[in-house]
Amino acid sequence: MHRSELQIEETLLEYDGPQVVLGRDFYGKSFVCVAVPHNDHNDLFFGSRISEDNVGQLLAGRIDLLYALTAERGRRRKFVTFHYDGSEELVRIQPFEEQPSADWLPEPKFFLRDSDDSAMAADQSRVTIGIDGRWDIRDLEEFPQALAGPYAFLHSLMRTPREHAAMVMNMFRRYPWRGGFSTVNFYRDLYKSIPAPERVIVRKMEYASPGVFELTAARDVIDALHQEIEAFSTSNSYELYQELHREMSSRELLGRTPEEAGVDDEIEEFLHDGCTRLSRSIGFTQLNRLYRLCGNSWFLASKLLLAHYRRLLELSEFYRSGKAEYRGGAPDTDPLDVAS
Amino acid sequence: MFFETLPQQCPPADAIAAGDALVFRAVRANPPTIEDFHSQAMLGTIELDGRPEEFVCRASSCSVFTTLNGARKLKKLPKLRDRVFVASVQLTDDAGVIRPSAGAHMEWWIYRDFDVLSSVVEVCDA
Repeated sequence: MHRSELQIEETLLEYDGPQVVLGRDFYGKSFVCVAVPHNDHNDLFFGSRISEDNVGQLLAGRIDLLYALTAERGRRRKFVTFHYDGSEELVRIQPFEEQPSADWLPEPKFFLRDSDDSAMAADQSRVTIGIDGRWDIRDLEEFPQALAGPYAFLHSLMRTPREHAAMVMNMFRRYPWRGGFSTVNFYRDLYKSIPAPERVIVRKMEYASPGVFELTAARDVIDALHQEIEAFSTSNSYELYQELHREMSSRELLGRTPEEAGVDDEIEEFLHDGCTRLSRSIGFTQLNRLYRLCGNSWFLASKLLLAHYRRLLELSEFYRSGKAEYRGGAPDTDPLDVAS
Repeated sequence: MFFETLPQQCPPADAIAAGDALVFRAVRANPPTIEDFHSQAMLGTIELDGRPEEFVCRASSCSVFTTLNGARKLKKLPKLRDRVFVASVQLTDDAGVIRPSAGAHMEWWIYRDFDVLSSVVEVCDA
């Protein structure tokens, strides 16, 4: 592949030929491209560099095509033109230094996937969470946060796509793990690494007593999350959590990086044992995967498991208090009816 | 047999009889004209010389959508701004063969004897 070429990777929409495509340049940067009118060339495309995050958002129908084409600013903005009729995968691109005219841009609100579009990813399911009692505005803010953290954590262990594996592994090992700020950033970055179609999306919300949230999410992940919540509410997990936390604290392992803590084999063995017992008590089945992602470090794995536990605890309060009830997939919508 | 001259291995083997599907085609005119259903190959808007048969085959199909919304929003795209109407077309087995592609889009190879314009059951604004 040459520097002046673009690899067409996917046709996102066709209608009498390709209309919207995704491409990748020599440097691995993604471009979203749209067919544009031209008096002399019927196969002209206008392309714009797009971030990986926005690719996911575009595919999930969370941003429109106009925004996808114009979101990049400053030095990251790069426009190109090329000829493409669907017959070749490699096209020769020309830099386009001007502002695109209105004729070349789609109208606002052209979403690749509409909110009522049932052609969702096959592994994405609708799940229902019943709500009851009085929810104040803080609950509405906190519940999605409480759900997003452990969901992202489990998703990274259960579903990380191959192309994101290195990034996720890097994330697990990068943070100094002193707690607090680093943990918050870790969960935020983990959630951002989830492919947009597999993030938790609110499809419907009916506020009443009882009311309902209808969400879409990766079914196996959100089910596993709620199985953990169910398991730990009937086990001695809290004692095991406290025991592990107390022992780590007394050994001055908390709030320290592995280097600062001087972790040796004896500590690793003790942490392995503590993690195994805690994970069994909450039905957490991804311990070995967690250990590997942490670079075969029980020191990091135990900190993450404790952090995961605290988040489960926070989420479980919504269920234990009767404010929320996980109902799983709605029988009439699961598996998804792929109608289009 | 087909409305357009097709390459030998066209329509492809995985194309199926149109059945009784209701499909939607974004068109320029109301009522639509037969040109609204012409493929890129027939309209001569695409270079076909020396191209693989599969490419020529696809270029000789008429794009339709299985959802009204899918066809309606096409007019927001730069190259399709003149597709300001959507024709609902009632297919039958006599209409030709179809092949679903991505999402709600289908390729339709139309039989020569099928009266396309008579099969338009409704035209609405896009």
